[in-house]
Amino acid sequence: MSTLPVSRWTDRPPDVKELHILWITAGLSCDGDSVSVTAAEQPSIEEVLIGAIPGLPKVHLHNPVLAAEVGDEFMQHFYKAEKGQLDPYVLVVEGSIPNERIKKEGYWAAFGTNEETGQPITTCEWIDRLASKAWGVIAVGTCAAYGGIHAMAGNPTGCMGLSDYLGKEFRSAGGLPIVNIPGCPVQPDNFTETLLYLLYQAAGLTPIIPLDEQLRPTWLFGKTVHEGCDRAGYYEQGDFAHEYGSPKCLVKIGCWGPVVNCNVTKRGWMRGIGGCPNVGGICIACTMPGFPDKFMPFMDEPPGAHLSAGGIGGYGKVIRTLRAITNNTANKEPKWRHTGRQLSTGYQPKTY
Amino acid sequence: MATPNRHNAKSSMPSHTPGTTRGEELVFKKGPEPGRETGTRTARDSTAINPKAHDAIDPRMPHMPPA
Amino acid sequence: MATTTQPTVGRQDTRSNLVEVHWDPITRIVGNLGIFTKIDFANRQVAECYSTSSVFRGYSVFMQGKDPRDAPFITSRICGICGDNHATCAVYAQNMAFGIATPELGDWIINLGEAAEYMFDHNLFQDNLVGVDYCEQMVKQTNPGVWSKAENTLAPNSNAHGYRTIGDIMRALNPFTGEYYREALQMSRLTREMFCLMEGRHVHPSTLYAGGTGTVPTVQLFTDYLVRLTKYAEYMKKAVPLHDDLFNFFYEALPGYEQVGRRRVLMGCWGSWNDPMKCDYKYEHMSDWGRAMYVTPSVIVDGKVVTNDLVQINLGMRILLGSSYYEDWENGNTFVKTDPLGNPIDQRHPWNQTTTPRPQKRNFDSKYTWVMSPRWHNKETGEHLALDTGGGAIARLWSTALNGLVDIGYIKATGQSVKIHLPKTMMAPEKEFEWKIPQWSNAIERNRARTYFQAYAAAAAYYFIERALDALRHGRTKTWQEFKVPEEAIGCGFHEAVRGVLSHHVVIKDRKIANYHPYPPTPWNASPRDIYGTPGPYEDAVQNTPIFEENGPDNFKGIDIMRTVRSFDPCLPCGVHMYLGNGKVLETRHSSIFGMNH
Repeated sequence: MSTLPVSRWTDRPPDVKELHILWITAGLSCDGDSVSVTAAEQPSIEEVLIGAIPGLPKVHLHNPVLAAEVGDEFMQHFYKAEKGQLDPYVLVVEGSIPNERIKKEGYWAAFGTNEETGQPITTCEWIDRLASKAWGVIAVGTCAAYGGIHAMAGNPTGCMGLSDYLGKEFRSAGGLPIVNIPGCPVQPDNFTETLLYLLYQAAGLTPIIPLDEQLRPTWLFGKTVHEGCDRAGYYEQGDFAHEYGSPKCLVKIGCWGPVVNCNVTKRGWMRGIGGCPNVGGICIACTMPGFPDKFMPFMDEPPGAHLSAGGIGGYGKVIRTLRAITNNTANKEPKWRHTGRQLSTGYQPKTY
Repeated sequence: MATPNRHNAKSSMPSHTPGTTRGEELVFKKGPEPGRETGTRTARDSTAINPKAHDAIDPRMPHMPPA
Repeated sequence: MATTTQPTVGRQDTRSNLVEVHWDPITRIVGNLGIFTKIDFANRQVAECYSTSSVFRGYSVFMQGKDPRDAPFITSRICGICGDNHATCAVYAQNMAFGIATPELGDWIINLGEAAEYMFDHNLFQDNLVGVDYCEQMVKQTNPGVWSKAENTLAPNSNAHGYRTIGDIMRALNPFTGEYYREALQMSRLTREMFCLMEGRHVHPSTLYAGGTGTVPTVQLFTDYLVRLTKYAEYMKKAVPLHDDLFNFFYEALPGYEQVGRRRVLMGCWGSWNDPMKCDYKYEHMSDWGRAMYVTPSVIVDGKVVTNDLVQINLGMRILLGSSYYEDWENGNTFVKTDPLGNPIDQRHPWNQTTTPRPQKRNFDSKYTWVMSPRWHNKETGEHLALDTGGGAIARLWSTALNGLVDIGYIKATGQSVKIHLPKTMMAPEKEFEWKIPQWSNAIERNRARTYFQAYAAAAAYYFIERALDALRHGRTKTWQEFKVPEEAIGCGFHEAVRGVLSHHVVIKDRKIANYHPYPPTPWNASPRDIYGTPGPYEDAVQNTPIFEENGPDNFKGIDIMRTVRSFDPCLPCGVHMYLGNGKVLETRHSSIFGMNH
């Protein structure tokens, strides 16, 4: 650990000088997490790559959506990593992991071509080649974390999350569990902030990243949507929306906020703007392992909400009445602010 | 490793459970919420605390409540 | 019946040696695409090309039996850059199926959200993905002669954008280090903030529902959007002349560059942005409200409008199988026999398609892709037309211009052009741009149209804000229409994804989805040779592409091919494939190209 004063972390040479990020988008993916990352501002992806925060490793990003190189030039980094020539690297996986074993031939997801057979190299094979050698492994987005949309009942590919594929006990070469950053797509700053934490860790400035039982960073997913929602006051007052477009609590028309772990209500989507229930969008629990099946049909009232929203009704009515009385008083100025010759503030003037 | 052939999903699994409320029909069941009775919005749509004190005072002023 | 296109570059010695070059994956697009070519270096042209996409997810399979109300949420996940286009189109299709219409202010909010999406996505794709193909680093490596010319060519519109020479523009487009590259990335965030205001989050919206939106209309909402819009409009006053200078330079510096990516003018546009005063979402009135859209729909053949009637457009859709990994459904279930007006619906129409995947080994001689071949059946001629969207912007502008219907103060379609008015902004006076229908449907014009459409979307947004504020101030604040899901219904939605035509077709039975088939633009653009032998748009375009790159086989980057492919703005999460080649057997020499390192 550091022997310099804490305030000079930026001068301390990082334990790891350079780090490569190998980003596989070829899970069953919509590429939404890669696109989301370009929306991040705290920090932005260019700030990470150009080194806006000193004292951290230099980062080289290999993501197909942004890369200048094409084809084999781009793939060479993946082949090098497999041979141990690109250490240390962080493997980022985006998209649900298909089950290639449930059929006789063909492939659900692949990228790059096997030069000997002329057939595409499956994404699963890339994960087999690269995950255990990586310093760290990130599953970005709910698809890579837990299977997500493509893993819903009735799907033909049998897909799953990365920790279903590698096993929850998986540890990277750097000794880390898989880091899941769920979200559909991942909230932009949630990703870059987590990446920043890992860079601090690689630099030797912070202990191992804290993850909960679902392998999510604890500081991002430790609250429920409801605990962060700016409409929670309506809930407490027993004031509920009957239709979409209402400013009130959405729990009776489909919002799962009270039982979902996500910080989008707290930080908005970008710069505090947008989000989900705070701006009129029912929470569909897109960060959760149970997504989407356990929450569909999304517009139905969640079973628990009937009970809890019903229960708060009586309390809400009473408290609204009481608050109305106090609000009334608060909306009136004190009586001593008036024109006229009399001073009634309580001050007794002696000199005038 | 998941054991094969257990927990098999039925294709129609995530579908409406009879008896639960359909969000798009709530307004048919319960009527418009307070503040939305007339098709347009009044201050009661946004606050339950003394809403009458928060409507505009002059009929020429548009009704424009907060979020 | 096959529809052939005439190659405009003549073939010479058919016994030339060909070199196999492949790029897998193609980067700086969305999704998974690999291109395998045979290059005729002697004649400097592309002899053969296959393109293949290697990811299948199965939306049309797993959506069966699900609740139709979930369609906007689920279909959004088809695409990670334009998912909201899908969600919007799904809302349109469900509205029709449920027999409802989004209330006025709900439609303005959706229009504002979709405008922000076009402003965002075209911006990011043009200057952070495509732009790298025209940047200093790339041009130096592929055409050093062009680079030195660029350094010495003054940019005609330097006063508008501030870059003195074309070389300065190219330097500013360098990835991450280029100043304009970084400015574009910042603007792509500003536009997404605008999107988030209307639709909650990006890319998969939280506030869109069948029936309208959950966004609460307030003074703050529209002020926050408008303030950002003015910043974007000011930026566009610089962006349009900058790209005109860059693209015109390529024509000058490389005479004949108009042949790069060139194809017959054969386009489809399904229209965008409904007019809530005209649109009741009923199929019976779709011909009329389709023509009232703020981007006019049509099928364009050889520069003429064949139809701008969405009902006719719907009836002409056919999905053909070519070289793809599926079972046919010709003898399968017929879900829909006639449309609501009594017109017969073909078995190959999306309403009747059944998707049964058959994963298998890749074989370029027979089946090698996950994509099908959408075509438009022209009943006058019997042809199955391989329409393209040119990446979206060019088809929208071309269709709107030709039809001459759009006239909203900020935008006017004249019959041969579109006039776009951007009002005064903080540091710049008002400005009018005019996009004129170009002579060619080629790579450069597709790219040019993209920047112009960003300005078009900004101009449209000014109009939508005015209408929305008017509705708000007069108390017309309903944004969502309540409904009951019917036992049985059919619906369709027509919209423009950023990259072009988007349709959703739904069949509902027992209040559940019996069939759902979305058709985004990329299957149209990148479709393979179908059973009638008609090649797809990429085929024509790449086949006609001459090679201007100065490198030989040893360090060939294929930049002209890359520029062609990216001009279509490929977005592969729907799966893509493209094959071209006339099957002439030629002597080939395989050479391994890459050993380059930076």
